[in-house]
Amino acid sequence: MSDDRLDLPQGTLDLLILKALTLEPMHGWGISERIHQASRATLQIPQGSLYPALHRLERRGWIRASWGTSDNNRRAKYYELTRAGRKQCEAEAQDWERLAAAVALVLRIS
Amino acid sequence: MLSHALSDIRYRLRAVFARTTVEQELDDELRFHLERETEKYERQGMPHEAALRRARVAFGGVEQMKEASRDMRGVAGLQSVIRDLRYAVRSLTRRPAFAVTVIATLTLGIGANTAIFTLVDALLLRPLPVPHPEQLVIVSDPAAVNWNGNGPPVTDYVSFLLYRDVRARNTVFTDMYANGDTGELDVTVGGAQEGTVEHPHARFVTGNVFTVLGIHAYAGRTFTAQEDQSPSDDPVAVITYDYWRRRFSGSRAAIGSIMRVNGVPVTIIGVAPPGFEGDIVGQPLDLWLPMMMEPAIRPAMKVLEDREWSWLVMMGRLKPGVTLAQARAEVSALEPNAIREHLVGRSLSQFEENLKETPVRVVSGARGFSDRRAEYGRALWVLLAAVGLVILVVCANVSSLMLARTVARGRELTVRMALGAGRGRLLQQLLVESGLLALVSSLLGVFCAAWATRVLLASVRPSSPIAIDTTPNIRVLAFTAAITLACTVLCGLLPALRGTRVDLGTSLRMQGRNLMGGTRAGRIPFGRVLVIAQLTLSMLLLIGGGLLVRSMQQLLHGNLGMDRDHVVTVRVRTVRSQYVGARLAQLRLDLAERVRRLPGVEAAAFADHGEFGGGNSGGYVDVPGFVPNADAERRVALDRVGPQFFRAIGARLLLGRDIEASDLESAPRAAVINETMARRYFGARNPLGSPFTLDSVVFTIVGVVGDFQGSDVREKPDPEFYYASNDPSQGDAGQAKLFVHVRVEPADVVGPIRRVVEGVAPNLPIAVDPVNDLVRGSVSEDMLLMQVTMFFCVLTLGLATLGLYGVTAYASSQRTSEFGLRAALGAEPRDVARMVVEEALRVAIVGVGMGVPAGLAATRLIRAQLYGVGTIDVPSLSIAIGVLVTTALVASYLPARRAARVAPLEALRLE
Repeated sequence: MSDDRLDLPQGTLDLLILKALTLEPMHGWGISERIHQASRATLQIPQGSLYPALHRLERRGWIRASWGTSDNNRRAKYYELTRAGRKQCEAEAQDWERLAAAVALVLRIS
Repeated sequence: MLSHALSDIRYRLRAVFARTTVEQELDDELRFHLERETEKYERQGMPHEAALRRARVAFGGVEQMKEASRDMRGVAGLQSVIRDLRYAVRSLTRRPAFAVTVIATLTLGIGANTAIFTLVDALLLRPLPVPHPEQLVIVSDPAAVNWNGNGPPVTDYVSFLLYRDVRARNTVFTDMYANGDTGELDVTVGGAQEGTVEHPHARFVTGNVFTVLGIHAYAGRTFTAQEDQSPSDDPVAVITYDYWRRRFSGSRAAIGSIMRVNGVPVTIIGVAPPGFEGDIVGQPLDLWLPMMMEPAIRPAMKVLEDREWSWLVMMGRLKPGVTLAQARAEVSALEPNAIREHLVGRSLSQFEENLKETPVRVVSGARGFSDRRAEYGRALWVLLAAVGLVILVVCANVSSLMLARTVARGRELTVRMALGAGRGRLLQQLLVESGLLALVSSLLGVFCAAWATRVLLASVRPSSPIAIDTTPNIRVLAFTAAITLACTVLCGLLPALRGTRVDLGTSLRMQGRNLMGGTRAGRIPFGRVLVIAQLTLSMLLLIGGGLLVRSMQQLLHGNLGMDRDHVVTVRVRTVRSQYVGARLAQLRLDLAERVRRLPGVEAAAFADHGEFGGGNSGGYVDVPGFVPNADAERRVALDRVGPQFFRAIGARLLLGRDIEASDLESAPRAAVINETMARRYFGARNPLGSPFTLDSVVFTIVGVVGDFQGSDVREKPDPEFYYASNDPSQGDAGQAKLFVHVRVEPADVVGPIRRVVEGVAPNLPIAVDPVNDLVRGSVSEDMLLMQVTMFFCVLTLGLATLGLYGVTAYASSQRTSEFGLRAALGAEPRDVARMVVEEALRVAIVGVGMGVPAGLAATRLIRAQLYGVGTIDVPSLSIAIGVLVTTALVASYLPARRAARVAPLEALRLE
């Protein structure tokens, strides 16, 4: 497993978490794995920032937490997107796309 | 946005109140994550131990993550405050003496302030409890509510006809109403002819009063527009809520029941809402009667038809969009014109003179009428300033107590700072502690204030009580909260800053006692500053209080121009009794005759007004040889007296003779003028034998009497003359007044005089009072101000003494080794003691030095309260300085004794 860790700015981490939850509710470890896999093993979220981010998002009301049983029969805390969270995810994703496109444009000029 | 805020709050609440659960959940969550991570590595073939370690390393610091998560919850601040609160409670209960002292002191300060402010708010600041009080406008003097005056038309009180004119002709008010004093009424509740006679407080009001004010009945109804149109047609009354509960126990049966007012049956039709006690602030009120009932209830007076009888005050409500200035402009022109239409000649020119002196007053009526406000307002502001001084002293005192405490906890604070606590964090903790003390004190203080206001109000003279609602309202509570906050900051901040400013290096080391350097590090110059501040403020209060005491001495014992210690006044109310006309005249003669014969009585005489009776009469005189520059110079006061009047009051005759019995019949009438009148009209000439005229009646001057104070002790006497008259048609025909000069103690003859009077005039209300009692009654507000100020003086002095004691004790304890060394080198115990006392005296002198000039400057503010003393009064000033110096001696006594007893070996061993 390569250790190409990219330092994610805080806003981006939020976006990734929200996006990871659009399909189905997931617990914290599962979110970390999903992002890792979806980024083709490039992104490894530093565990230290995952849970604080999750609690922050929960406080803002974009994700909702509940306790359930995991697939290996253990108690785990599951998070799911709220309606406001879904809207927030779309909005932030759009912003990100625009930003990335603009940066790419600038970089191409050389 | 709102949903964000709600979920935010819900999250934070849960984080605060269900903290253990939330922490537990976090633990579970992190444990689950670690397990899954470990399993992942295990599945890749690592052994369990290695996988676990790998997972932990990948995870990072657990504690740091927990901290970060906790920060994300957004309640760290609140939780730290809660933690500080718990800690503060624990550490305070460990040292109860400190906590109790601080709470007691703060409670006194905050309570006193709240009490005074409650009074200030209720009497001076609060608007009437009616809708839109800012639209109300008073057309008269707001302080003029209690005078059945008559005479030349005035612009403050209006006659009923003038009220009607102003109401009809103005364009600025939606409506106006008028309100007048009823005087004392004899009321029997229940409609029967016989029954106990009561005297509830009542006002005559025009029928539209409740509509203009916007008040609806709480039960029953108020006056309708149809009532109060024609005289004596509508015998109805509205009672106040308080009266309803007090007298009728709140029974619904009272509505519709009959009460007899001066014999006239009147139906109670409704009850005003609770909290509304009329438009006159501070005066008790029980019922309202329609203006049109006045002729029925007071048949002799014929007040409603007489333009000369000015007895009403008016209030109007502005039309929307009209300003007070516009109303003022219109009414100031309209009212005098309405008056002028009915005056000619002399009265007209008199009125114009009056108008120049007192123009029509058009002022905001938001706070209603109040003569109590005028009476007590000044004194209350002075009290508020005084109590502000008290709270400052209290804060300084508590501040030094807290400073001593933080210094005592120096090691604890240092250790915590060494362990990593930031200075801000420690500051927060200390402030939370002082905030907790202030909060507890303010709660106790509010209760104390409620009790104190009741006591203060109760100690005002019962003849004119102040009736105000003293339950705390928003303004008062906000004031208390502000004071509490200020106390927290003042008391807690500076000591906290001082206490946390520690140099870690030197503090942690054991502080070796350095004999050479003394104990410089141990002094608290700041503590000393606080004590000096307390002494200065106490000095201020002492100076002010001393002046008030001297004033009171003058008021109670100063020269009034008559023999105040040996005169007794007798008042017999004859209104509505059989004593009218000639019978009243005979009654006066009989009373004087019978009382004169009592043992111990030197002289007795009747008079219309005399002194301290309230009311006076006046007129315009023409003196040959005197050319007045203005009509005002022709005005004098007058009194109709009986034979030997001046002997009866112990006044000094300067020239000529006293009024004699023969003067009752003589023509031209004999008059005695007072000093002021003689000086004005005759200068240095001898006035005896000269004539003067009043309303075409000629008088001859037969004597000049020294000025004596007739009513208000503080005012300069007016020019006045006295003539013999027993004419029952003139003057006050409602009572007979007698003045008795006694050889013995007045208190001893009060009983016998009363019995004699009762024998002559049975079944009439009688009042027998020594003059000094009446004076005392008339200066009761000054007495109250003085008593409260002296109480504050004692309080602040006590606190300052304690503060000085604390600082002196601490300073001398720091110097124990120095004293031991001195004693070893041969110093006498009393030398050492003297050093300590000198230290304290030095502090006191500084306090005096700063306090005296400040006090002298501040006394200018209370000059209106002073009587007979200048602002620089040497006796009271010296006493104040003496008291403060004594304070220093008292405060340093114990520390000095302890210092003198220091055994050299003991002290040097304390290393």
